[in-house]
Amino acid sequence: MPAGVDSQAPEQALHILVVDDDPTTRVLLASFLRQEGHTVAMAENGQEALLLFERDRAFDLFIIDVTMPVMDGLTLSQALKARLERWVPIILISANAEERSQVLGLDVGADYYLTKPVSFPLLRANVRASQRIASLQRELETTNDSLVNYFNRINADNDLARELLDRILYQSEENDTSARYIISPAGDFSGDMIISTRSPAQRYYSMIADATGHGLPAAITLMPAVETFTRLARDGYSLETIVRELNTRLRESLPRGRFVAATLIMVEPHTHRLEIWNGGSPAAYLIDNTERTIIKQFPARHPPLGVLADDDFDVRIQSHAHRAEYTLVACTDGVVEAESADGAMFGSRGLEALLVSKERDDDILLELDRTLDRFTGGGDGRDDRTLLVLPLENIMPVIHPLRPEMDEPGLDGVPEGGHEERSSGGWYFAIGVRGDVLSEAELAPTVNGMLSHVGLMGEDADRAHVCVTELINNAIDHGVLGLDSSLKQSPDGFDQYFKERRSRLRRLKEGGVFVRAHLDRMGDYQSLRVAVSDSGSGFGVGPDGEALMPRAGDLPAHAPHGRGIRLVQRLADRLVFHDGGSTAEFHITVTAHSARN
Amino acid sequence: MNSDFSLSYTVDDGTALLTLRGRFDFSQYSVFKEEQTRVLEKPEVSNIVLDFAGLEYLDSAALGILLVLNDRAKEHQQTVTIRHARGVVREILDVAHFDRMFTIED
Repeated sequence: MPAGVDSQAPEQALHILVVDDDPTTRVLLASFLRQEGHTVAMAENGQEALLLFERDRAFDLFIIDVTMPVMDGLTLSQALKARLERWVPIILISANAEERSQVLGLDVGADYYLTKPVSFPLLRANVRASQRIASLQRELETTNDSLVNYFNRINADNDLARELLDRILYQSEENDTSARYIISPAGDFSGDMIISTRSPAQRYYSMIADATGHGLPAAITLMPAVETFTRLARDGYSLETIVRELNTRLRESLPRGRFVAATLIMVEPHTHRLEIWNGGSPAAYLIDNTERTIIKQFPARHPPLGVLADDDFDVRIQSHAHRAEYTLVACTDGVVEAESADGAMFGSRGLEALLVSKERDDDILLELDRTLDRFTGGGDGRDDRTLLVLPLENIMPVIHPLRPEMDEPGLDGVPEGGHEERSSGGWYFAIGVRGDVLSEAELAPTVNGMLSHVGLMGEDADRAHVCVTELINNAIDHGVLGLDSSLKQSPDGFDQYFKERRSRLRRLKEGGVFVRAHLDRMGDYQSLRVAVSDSGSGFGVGPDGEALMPRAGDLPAHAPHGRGIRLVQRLADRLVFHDGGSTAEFHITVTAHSARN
Repeated sequence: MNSDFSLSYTVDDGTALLTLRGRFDFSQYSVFKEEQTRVLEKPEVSNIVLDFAGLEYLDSAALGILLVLNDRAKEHQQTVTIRHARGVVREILDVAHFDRMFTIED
């Protein structure tokens, strides 16, 4: 600091309390300080000083004699420091120039120490020094106040943002509680997310996703993914379509260098088909939680979503047959990359060891939480950590109570096959797809969407959606592509089956599927008839339209294939085959409360 | 786990060799970006080689930084090769399937 600045230090009037039992010193000091422009109050001893202080706390400086009757200067200094809410300087004065007594004075909380007789230049310098500190103190308080304000505002903003995100993320979940999971964010916001939903045809979809980085920016990154996933999964689109759309959407909306590692899961309960697409996430596991064995691993086969351009993007799915007693486990990298205090990583090995451990708790979430706490010493929190545990028995098909058959008592007067007679009006539409367009067409969601549009709602609509989806899949797989269901009997055959399906679809030159639907108003209920025809040669039907081949009783109960037809037989009020089996038609009676019109 | 990140580079015969050490995460973004810009703007550089032998860890933000580098390099008609990734670093690159975007050499 340049010389002279000291004397030009900002002149500021202080409010000073002088405490001395010697009246001469007291008055001398007071008049000197008043000349300097300050206001001064006086006390004769410590006790009087404290009383004064209780009445008037606005002092900026205390000048205190050490040796006084009633209450001495050291005791007073201590008492003042204890009562003050902010820093106020104390100058001790004493006739004793001994080092020990000075140290003692500073120890109890005094800031300066002067010896008697008091040198006025030295006192002035001390007062100025305390002025400078006092003004720094005030600046600090102001800064601190604005920091506190800022902190509070940020906190309030964060709370709002978190609530907003939670609503978007978890409201869309439609309360599907089949899966259990933990999300343990590294900070206020999680860059991880799990979202699950079911399609009308009872397919279960789940996405476990981890956006680049942490906190709010990472959480925001997930928004476009949520919207796209929910919209498509709810309508029952294929996992391939969902994954492709997600990649396109994220690629368009995310800044470069931002992406989303994700595992997408589709479980079709009635066909026992499990599909997984893993882009950049740790392996997912299909385990037997009773035997504690790993049935199959699903490692990352692709880069994360939002990285590759459409042309380079690869939607290939891993599929497997599942059983109700299996459990699916998937996680984000925060789990396998959890670090111990000495820098070791939990790793996929750690997770696998936990999954197959015979000693562990049945509750995988609980066990993992404990294990990771132990592993990291409880202090880890570097990354968001998310684990999904999905016991497949939780997503077995939801079968709605069957309606009485049309010819059974209770629905009086409905003539067999005579719907048209009583219908006062209705919708009908026909739609078909042929050739290689079949490979990209989403015929079942389209038909189901149209049915919803024309007023099919409620539980009866859910039954119809399943039937439409199953009959169309059946028509494509067996009628058009001529695939052999027996392939699916072995678990590995499943993968092979779907590979074969994909490649035949791509090469398809002719053939197709044609759907006709009628939704008729029949007084206080509606009648739905949907016929699905394919270009195949059928399988032969009896004279009464009953199927000769895919009769439920002829199918081995454990076979995944044929389940589709059996399901339609159970869900629809009636299922008949025409054209030698290449047309399947189901009927469903829609009760009034289910229908919009 | 507390090893510091360091980055150095040499340019030789059209190839820029960037040597990365320690722990590469989001906090290194500005350091890396600065060096990256310096390397990309050298007209004589046609190949960029990232040596990961000394790298102990990288997180998803670091992967993002690498993707940005790759994009910029393409704009400058430069290629990016990742070399000597080992251990957990290699695993992370494998899980993210970075071989689809980069040349990865042992």
